Amino acid sequence: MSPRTPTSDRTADVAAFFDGPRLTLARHLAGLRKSDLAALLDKSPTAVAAWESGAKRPSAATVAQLALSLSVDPGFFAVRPDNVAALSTTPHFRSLRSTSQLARDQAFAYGQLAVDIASSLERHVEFPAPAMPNLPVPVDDRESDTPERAAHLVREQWDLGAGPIRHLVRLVENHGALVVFSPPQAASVDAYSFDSRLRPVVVLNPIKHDYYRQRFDAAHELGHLVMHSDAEPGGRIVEDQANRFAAELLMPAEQIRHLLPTTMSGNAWRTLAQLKEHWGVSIQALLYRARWLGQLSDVSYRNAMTTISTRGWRRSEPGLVNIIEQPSLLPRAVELLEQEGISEALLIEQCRVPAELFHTVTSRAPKDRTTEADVQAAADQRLTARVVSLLDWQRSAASDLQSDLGTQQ
Amino acid sequence: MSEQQEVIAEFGEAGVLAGIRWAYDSATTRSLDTYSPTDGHDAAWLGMTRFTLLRDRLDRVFACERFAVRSGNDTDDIDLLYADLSERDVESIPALDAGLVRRSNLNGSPGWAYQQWRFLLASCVFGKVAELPWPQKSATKQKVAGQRNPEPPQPSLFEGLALDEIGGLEGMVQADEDLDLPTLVVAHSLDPLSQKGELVIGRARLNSGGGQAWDWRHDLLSIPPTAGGRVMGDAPLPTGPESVPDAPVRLRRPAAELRDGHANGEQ
Repeated sequence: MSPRTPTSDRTADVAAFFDGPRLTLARHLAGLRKSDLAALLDKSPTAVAAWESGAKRPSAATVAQLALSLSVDPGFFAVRPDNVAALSTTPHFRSLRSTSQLARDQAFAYGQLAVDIASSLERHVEFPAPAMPNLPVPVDDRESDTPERAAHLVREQWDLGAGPIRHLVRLVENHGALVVFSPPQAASVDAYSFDSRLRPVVVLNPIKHDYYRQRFDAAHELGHLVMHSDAEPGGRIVEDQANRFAAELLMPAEQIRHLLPTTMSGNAWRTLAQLKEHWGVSIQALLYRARWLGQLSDVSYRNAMTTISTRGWRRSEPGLVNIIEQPSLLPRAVELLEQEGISEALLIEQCRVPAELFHTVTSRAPKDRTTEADVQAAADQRLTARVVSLLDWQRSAASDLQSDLGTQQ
Repeated sequence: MSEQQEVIAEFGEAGVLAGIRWAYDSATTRSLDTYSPTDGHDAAWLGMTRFTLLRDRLDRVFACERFAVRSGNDTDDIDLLYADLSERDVESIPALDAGLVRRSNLNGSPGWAYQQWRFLLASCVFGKVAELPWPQKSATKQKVAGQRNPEPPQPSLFEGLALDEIGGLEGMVQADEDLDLPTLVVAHSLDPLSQKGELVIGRARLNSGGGQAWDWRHDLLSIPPTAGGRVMGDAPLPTGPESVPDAPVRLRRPAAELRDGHANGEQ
């Protein structure tokens, strides 16, 4: 059998079952505007918009062209049992102003892809049932203690008792939320979360190799899921509420207040280092907590933060734990199915997603390629507001397809 | 877990790193206090004083040699322990159990051992700790630097040889290079002008003909200084995220069914 036949057949099949929202998803993953994609195809942006909305159906040749331009398999565009995207809430992104719409769309598309993969795997495996406490907080509420009460509610409903939380990512997973790392190319977007038809999702930033800060991020996102399922994302007050939630969840006031230093002399730094290890939070979070709870004066806090800066600890604080918390749900599912003889390749085929994205979504740790260069790239990305395609790994597959098309046309 | 992670975690948890840090702080502060160029002191004087004081402080904080606890009761020996220490030193000395770290010299070079690791001291010029020239140091230090790295970063030269051959070669190499205990080096420096110093612990690497001076090293001055008592108090340390089990994931139906489902074209 010629290797070209299946591709051509698939393309024709997909044209019949073409799903507009899947095209939107692929375009977002590639970090393209409608006009960018139109230019790549040499078609009008109106045509792209019509395919995406379902007003028009692309021809088989166009589907092939789309697949090629976006570096996905044509099967990616096939209709799904349900449209995950339409059933998800808008994610909460921190620093909305510095994150471009394109980057946000891409990040959200990645999150949806994770839900899509989870949904596909869930036909074979059972994950813990979602059990997310819910305590909505008005988006303009600066005064009340609702964020703190929400943190108490979580500790109570999840039966956490007193003391530090051992493993935040696992805690969230055990209560049915999906936790994944985002790909290194998207590292300029901070951690984010959203609720989907399936289960809540937390997407962690892959370049923060800091156990203590990552825990705070996860707690912050948990706060959004508990308090802001209905809220418009992105406001300053909403972000503050999530930070207050995280601080109270990780360092409950009544348990930590008397332990915090009241001056920065004597044993203060040693105390902070101890508290850091015991509670699994950064010294900076502890200092902020100490000021918030009125234990530390503004002047002492400022001086302490100056010391932190001088020692270069703003970027990298010393700490004993140098392994970050890792998600387990999807990786465990893949391992379990592999033990049962269901290969990863088969799962990827069933999910119909690019293999590299499948790996990123289902891995326990951020990709190895998350290096200094990625950190730099993320910083550059922030400056230039340039969004790198998440589908670039597929270049070789795309050129195979191109040769298929060459013979077809 | 890499050797570095293991050493730092174990030494850190037990308070050994804090002990070394305290000894260094105490020794360098006292050396600088006493150092007087106008009185004829020179760099050699300062280096020798620092070495002597550092050895003394390590023995104190780890209750070795002169400071070994003889009465069976830590507090009875406290006068000797505190003799001639500054008030700040007394306040900040970590209270470690006697016997935690034992004296373990190597060919007359003062050394201390905790669990299966020994560490020796090496001084160097300020700013040069990263490129310590081991071939110019004593034979003992050279031997320490020549130890086999338990986790060579690159494939071994013998890769591709039959397994038993490798075993034999390794045995030979080990017999020649391995010491009775894996031995680390605590390297320290001090600049009398700026009063800045360096303090690292790591696995030295024999850099004959240039190259890296360390397989790994850990900066001990980057941890917050202790101010007395056990480093971590009685608070339990985080066990590390890797000891927490995965979230429960169960198969829904037998694997055969899964494969059949796919074969039937189920999507």
